[in-house]
Amino acid sequence: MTDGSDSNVRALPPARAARILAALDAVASSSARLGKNQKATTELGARQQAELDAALDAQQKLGARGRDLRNSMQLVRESLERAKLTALNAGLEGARLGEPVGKALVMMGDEVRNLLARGVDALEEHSTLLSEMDRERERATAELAELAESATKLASELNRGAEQALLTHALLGELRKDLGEVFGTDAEAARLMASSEAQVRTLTDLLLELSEHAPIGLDTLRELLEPLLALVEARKPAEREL
Amino acid sequence: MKDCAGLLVRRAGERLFIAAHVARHLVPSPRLSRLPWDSAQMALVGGEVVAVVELSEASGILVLCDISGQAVALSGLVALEVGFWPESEGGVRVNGEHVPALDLVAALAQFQTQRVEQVEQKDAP
Repeated sequence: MTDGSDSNVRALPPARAARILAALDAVASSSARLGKNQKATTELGARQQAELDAALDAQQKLGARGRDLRNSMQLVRESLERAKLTALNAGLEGARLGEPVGKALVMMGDEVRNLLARGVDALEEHSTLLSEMDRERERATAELAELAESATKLASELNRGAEQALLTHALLGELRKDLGEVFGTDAEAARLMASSEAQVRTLTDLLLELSEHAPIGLDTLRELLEPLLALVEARKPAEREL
Repeated sequence: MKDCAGLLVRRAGERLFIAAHVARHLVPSPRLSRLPWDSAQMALVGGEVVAVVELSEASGILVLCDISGQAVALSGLVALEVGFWPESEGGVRVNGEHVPALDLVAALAQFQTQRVEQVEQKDAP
């Protein structure tokens, strides 16, 4: 059975064998290109992952800065509250002095206290904004972390894809070599033969067309065409067997 | 109607008036020490140990008062404003609204009653 199939394969017309080998070459070349592309994409993925890690680092530093800012704002708030107490105490001293002497002190204390109260309100507003920024930063950090995880998975998949493309390329190379041996023909020779066959077919067609327009004797035409047609017909049974 | 000088405070949402000759000083709340078997608290203010009467939840400041020549600190008050306001019955009128004076005697009496009650409860068999 093996001999039969071998003989079938060996009976494969060179043009067919050349086409199969050419197709294999094309697939191998495409696989090599795919491998190169995969490698480039893997490198791009690794770079993207490094950038994401750097962005995460920056976010964490931003969080630390936010904490520092909140601590310093707390100090400012405490100082303002102390100053408010001082203004109230100045007012109390003025109140004890009584009108009209202490009135100016009371009014000044009141004015200072109002200004400080505005400062405390502004600080509260800053604190609220800072908290909102912190929440947004935390959300962005979580999204970046998810993105970094996805990038890691993607890089790993791409790497596996590149390895598989390289393996496919190697396997195709071996297959091509094996098929060349099985077909019993050299790939270059098979390609030349296939090309010759095509040229014979074209020449035959041209001669037939010429005979319609030019007065070529039938015998002369038969003499020219018969060897060529015989050559083409000789290929057909082998192709039919396949 | 004469004007009264003093301090406006808030205790549990209610505005109250403390006369300037009673309210001496406002200080940030220092560390308070509770006396054993008693609801009374003590604090060191300006190098002097003073009794602290808790009138409401801590607000972060103490109002140092002079009550019958004794320094007493009040906690749980929020200082609002200092000024001169026209006297009204048992308080002052602030922007047309009556603000009662803080009844320090009642507060102290309540504080002392609570203290007695606590001692009695602890001594009960």
